[in-house]
Amino acid sequence: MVGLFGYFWWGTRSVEPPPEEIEKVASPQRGGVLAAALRSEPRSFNRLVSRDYATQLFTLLTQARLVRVNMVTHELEPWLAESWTSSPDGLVHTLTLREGLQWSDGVPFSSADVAFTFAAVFDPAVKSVLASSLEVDGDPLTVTTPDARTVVVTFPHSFGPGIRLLDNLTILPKHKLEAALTAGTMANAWGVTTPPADIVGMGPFVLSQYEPGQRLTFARNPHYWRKDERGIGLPYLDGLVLRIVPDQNAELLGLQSGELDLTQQQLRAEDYGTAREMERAGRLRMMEAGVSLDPDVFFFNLRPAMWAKDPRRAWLFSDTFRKALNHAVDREAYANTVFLGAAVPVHGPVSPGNKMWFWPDLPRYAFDREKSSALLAELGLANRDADAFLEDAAGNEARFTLIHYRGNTSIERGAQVLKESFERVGVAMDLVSLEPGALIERMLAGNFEAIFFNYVATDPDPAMQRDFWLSRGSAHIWNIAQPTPATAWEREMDALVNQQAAAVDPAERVRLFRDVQRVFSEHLPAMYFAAPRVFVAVGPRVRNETPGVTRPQLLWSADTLALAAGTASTSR
Amino acid sequence: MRRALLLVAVLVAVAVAGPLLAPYGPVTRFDDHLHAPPMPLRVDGRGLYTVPLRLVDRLEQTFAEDPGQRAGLPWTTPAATPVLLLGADRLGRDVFSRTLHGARASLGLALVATAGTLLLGALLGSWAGLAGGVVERLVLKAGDVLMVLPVLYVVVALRAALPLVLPLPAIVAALAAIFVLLGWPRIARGVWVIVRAEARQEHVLAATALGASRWRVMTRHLLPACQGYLAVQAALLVPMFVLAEATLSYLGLGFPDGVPSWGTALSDAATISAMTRAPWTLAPAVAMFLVVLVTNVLLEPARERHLSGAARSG
Repeated sequence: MVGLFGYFWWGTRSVEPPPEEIEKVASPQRGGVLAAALRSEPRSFNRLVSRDYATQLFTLLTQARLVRVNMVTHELEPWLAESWTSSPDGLVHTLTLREGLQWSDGVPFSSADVAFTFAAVFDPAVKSVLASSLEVDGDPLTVTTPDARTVVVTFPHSFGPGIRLLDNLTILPKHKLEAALTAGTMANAWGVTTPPADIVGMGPFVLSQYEPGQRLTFARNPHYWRKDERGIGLPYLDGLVLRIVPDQNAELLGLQSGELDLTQQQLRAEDYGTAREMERAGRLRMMEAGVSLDPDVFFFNLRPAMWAKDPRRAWLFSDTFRKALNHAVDREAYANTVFLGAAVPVHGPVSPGNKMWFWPDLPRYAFDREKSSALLAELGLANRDADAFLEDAAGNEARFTLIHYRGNTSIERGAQVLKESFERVGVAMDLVSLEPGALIERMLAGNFEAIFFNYVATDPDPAMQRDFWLSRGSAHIWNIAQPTPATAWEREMDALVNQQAAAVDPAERVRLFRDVQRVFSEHLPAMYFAAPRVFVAVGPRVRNETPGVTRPQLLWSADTLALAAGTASTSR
Repeated sequence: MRRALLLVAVLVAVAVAGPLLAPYGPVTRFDDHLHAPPMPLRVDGRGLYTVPLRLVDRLEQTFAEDPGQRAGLPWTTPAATPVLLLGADRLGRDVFSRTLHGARASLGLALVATAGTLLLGALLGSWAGLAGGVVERLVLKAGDVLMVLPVLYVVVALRAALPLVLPLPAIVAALAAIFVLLGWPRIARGVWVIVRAEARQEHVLAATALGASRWRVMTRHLLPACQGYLAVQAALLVPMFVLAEATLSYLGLGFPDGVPSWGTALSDAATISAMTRAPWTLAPAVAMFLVVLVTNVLLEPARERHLSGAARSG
């Protein structure tokens, strides 16, 4: 337990950097170019103004943060900051930067760059998408820089995860972007037409060429600071190519032909068999990263205004209806059908993959059709016209519409299985598949009855996901951004989440979060059925991979990826 | 013309009777048979039989025959022992049954749309040919405009303008209306040409001189001359609309996921793994191919006759 929660201990202490050991295969080779796929093109190279995945991945490869959350252990690691100390109240954190760091163009890095980045993030003219993630209860973090290697970050309120928050913040080069910030054009800086030479960073790679619609080509950052245990400078790779491959089928074919070296995201369940065959033929290696942190989520629109005039309001809006549907689903069969058995049944938003916060004793709704039917009967739903579905006393059929992602095969299969499960207890569900953009648009506008999609959390720590848990949150998907909590249980959950985020004692944080999950489970604003085991695949020449369960499963540690001896000279 | 009518009659019969022949419901799932391969029929002294499959590896979706076990035809075997003549799809549903059930939705829609297209095209074409002047220009220009529009984008826009969720009859009506809207100009132009030529014939001139109404001239003298053309067009439109339904459903704009149609079935099979490891899920594509092939083979003589007739008159 001490080890499990150790990094949440915010007493005054000094954190020694762990040895810069690069685990895994001994003596990885230096050199070579690795190719991977990218589903979509970056909208910008400026992470401050763009949150799309391609921009995030670009930033991950070319930029660096003060501290980093390890995607395998989920623990916080020193990065540009080599150590830090925290005040007893957890409000003030003093970070010491590594010595002798340089930007990719050779300019020395200093705390002034950190101060500049904070100024840019909180500049109203920039309207940075990162600003809210660097606030606590709506108040921004403040930063001072007593000297070139010291950064003092002060939190406005007590915050349990502490400087874990800084994992969100990419440090930007003052010498390159100060003019844009002063001129008020920071939001337009580093667009996709910016010459690659103008984009400098502290990450393992630098962009050397961007061919729209084709590829992004990266070269080794000659000034990258990290070394392996033998003192060899990272990254091992000379370069990296991200080919724009919008379709996952094409990505699999690319892997099969050797054109690509690794999967950009987890394999789909239906591709496991194909990948195994390719593995047996020596064309790739398939590996399991663990249980996904983000099970697919099913939720109703719980905005009271949505149902005010709907004749189905009495039952469709009720907790009991959602409990009845929960009892109607056989999660084992769901996992077998949707994920071919490579999944674990789940009953709440925190999957067993989130070892830190998973609560195995969370109250559950066991598969029990009789109980489901009894709950539906409690709501006055009965089969009044001898068809396959129930009706209420006014004759309204127990029917609603589910919108789900188009093109996501596990969601599509899951929706079919749920439809069938609900029909077995007399509830009809119409399915509509939409492109992700159209679905999100409807969700934000509240124009839906129910949605089934994949919500990707940014961090396993619940305090870092308050946007989801708090009623005022922009990711409180069932009733977004409420001015005041719409229900008593959401008010209770808000209070618990805020207490949990402010608590500094790890045991207290765990206890409070269990209370949050208990309230959630009692009212079921969102339903969960199975969390897949995450599989990824790499080509035969890839070495030293450390797959995580969240994306980018393999490229999160791009600086330690390597190629097998004798294959590094292959041109990509 | 007889061949064309026969073909349409056969397609109607398949649409009506197909689901009645299906051994399983379109949504009946066999959880241990996801992507199970086809179970071929065998013969021995006791008659036709199949060998049941057992799941070997769920993750890899591999199966093995159960030696010593025996199952009869799917219509006579208890539902607990699935007999999957054309294998199973990604949810463990019988592909054979779904192809038969899908025939009703796909062919039914194609037949309704064909009837509507022929009716509207014939009426507008003959009206334009007979009336001439402004009416003729208006009908032909409207047809020209519709024919040069990018069909797929128009269909997508029209479908997107409709509500997300519609009852099945409304979906059939909406899709048929879209097909009719985009399909009538071709028919109208063909009928117009025939009517214009026919209107100069002596028997038509005589009927007009004797005071026959326009409606009578059209229905008694002009449209009958179009019968052969319309019959051939009918048999060509059906496969075209079958493919159109498949395209729209594949794009998620046709029948919803829950409705078995050839298009939704193909949409289910649209991954590289399904195509390479479970090619039997493409059975609806084979059904569509057969419809198109049979149509072309059966109508080839009629088409030849039309072409040679056109050459002689030219």
